[in-house]
Amino acid sequence: MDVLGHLAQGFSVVLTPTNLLFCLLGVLLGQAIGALPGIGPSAGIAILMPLTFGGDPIAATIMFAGIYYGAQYGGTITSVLVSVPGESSTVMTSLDGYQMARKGRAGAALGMAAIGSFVAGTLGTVGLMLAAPALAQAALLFGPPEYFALVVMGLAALAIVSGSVLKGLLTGVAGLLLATIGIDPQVGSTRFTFGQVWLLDGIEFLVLAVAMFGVGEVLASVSQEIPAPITTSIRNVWPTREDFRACRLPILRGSLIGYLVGVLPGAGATIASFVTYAVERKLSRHPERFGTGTIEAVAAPEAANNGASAGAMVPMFALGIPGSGTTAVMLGALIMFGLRPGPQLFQQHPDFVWGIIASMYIGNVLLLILNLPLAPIFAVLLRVPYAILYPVILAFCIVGVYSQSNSLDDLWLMAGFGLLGFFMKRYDFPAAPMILGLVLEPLFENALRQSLTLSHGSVAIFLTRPISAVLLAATALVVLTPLAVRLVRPERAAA
Amino acid sequence: MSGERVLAGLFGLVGLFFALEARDLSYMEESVPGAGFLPFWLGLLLVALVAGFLFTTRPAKPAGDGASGPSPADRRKVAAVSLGLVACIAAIGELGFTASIAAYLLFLARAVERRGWGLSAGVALGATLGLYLIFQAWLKVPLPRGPWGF
Repeated sequence: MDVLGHLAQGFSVVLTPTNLLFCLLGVLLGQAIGALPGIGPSAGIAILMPLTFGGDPIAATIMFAGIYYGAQYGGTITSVLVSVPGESSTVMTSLDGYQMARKGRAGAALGMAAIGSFVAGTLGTVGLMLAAPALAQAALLFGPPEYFALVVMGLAALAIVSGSVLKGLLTGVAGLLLATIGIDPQVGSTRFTFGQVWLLDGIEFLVLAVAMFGVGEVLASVSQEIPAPITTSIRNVWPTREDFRACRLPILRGSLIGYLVGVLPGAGATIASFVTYAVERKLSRHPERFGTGTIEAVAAPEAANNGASAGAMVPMFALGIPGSGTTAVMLGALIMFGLRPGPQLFQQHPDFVWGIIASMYIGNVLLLILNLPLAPIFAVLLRVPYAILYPVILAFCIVGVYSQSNSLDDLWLMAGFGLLGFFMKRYDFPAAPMILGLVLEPLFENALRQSLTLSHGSVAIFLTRPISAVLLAATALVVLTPLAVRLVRPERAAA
Repeated sequence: MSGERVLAGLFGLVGLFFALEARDLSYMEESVPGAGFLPFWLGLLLVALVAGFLFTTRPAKPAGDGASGPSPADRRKVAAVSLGLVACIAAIGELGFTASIAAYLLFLARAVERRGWGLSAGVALGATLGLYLIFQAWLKVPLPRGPWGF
């Protein structure tokens, strides 16, 4: 079956009342989560995951995907009206978006951001539709050594873009270590359970994700002042013809850059928006206007972060290696549903993959419709005091984690890891690599063991197989370069 | 010593602990890695990464470290929210889900955030009822009950 045939199959899956409802729910929740301070899409998906237990994995994943790309739209509202980005991926939007709001053009900024996001989201989904199956087909040739190298590259990539390479690697390895607690899947013996029955199942992904992204983020946010939104009415959301002319090419460039950056393991929406902003500034005839409220400086990074959201789905679906922190959480969710993302997914569950892809087209249309006329209503969300919001988030974390296994022990773990998450946030130790390590450890350990079995214990197998050798060499290069710089020039600031 | 170095050191201790404990597990079974192989090497790798971090990061000056962090009032707030969470979890087994969550939410809104009694009670009761309806009534999650039956 060709791509269009598969896509038609996907639309037949998603065009049911239930799945459409979940798509609408996902983009609405994503929009709200993106707009609200102190909670991001990773936390939103982790906290809402227990609600989907026992339900249809397709509907649940449609909702999670909607939350993911909906949050990119929602984050714009906060960036423009408060100048405190709701998401890290909308940092660049805040530079000019907030200045536009101060000049009374908040409506145009939000409108153009929504249009740019729609164009990029749709183009990115086309890219996902074309690239992921091809990549999955190629990955069918991968054996255990290649998968081992892929996991190493995925973890290293996420560590590199998390701010500090060493801190990212450190938390990634800690996540791998945590995942070894419980029963060894290969030989069936127990590891690090210390006689505790509740540790036999190991540390559940949901517990760690909710603790880090829910409890940890809340604790970090309650110690910060969240500024009040700018008091301006949001009018004239539909941009002028001049605005369209100025933003046409930046949106297309942002879409392309965003998608390509998003496909790279570990990169993602934040880097995509930074790169796009820099490119647009370089190409602009008036670079001096950037930062003063120019509309193309809003449209381009917004396009980039949405293009990247679609791009980040490519390695997740095709290789089972997430392209960002949020897709790492989504990967964990898919595994909890009994699905194994990777090349086999396209062959074994085509209705699932193509249903999600089709839902992304629909979700982007829904978001455009929601954002243009309803942007002022979503802006009201910014007036919900965080002092009222975070207690409810914490209560949701508690009951969500409990509902997973009806265990108070998991709640204690959540509290402990939540506190760890707070300190990690406080000292800039990224949580996403730790989550990714926990999620990918079974694949990592199986690939390692199978490879060493094939080679009778020789690690040379990772270097004699061309694909794994190239992947490992590329990983070593990008990891060791900044580390070498640190060794030569030790400094206080994180590398 | 700065907080980030202490935190890195704790990660290092965890790595060391895992590496030492992994020695009690089988390392290799013929040419196949045993249960202790991966944890042993991951533990050592974690220790090495922490050592690298501590070696390449200069200790922060106490004033600089404190200046960028939360104020004493905010630290007290974080402590109150954390201790409240611990108390809430401890109470769930004894008092049940409903009473514990409602009390925790009331504590956060009223005592920590200094909101009015009406708003605090509204948030506590509304959120607890909402969660009860979603998880207990709709999803049939058997939430712990207290001595009074809910």
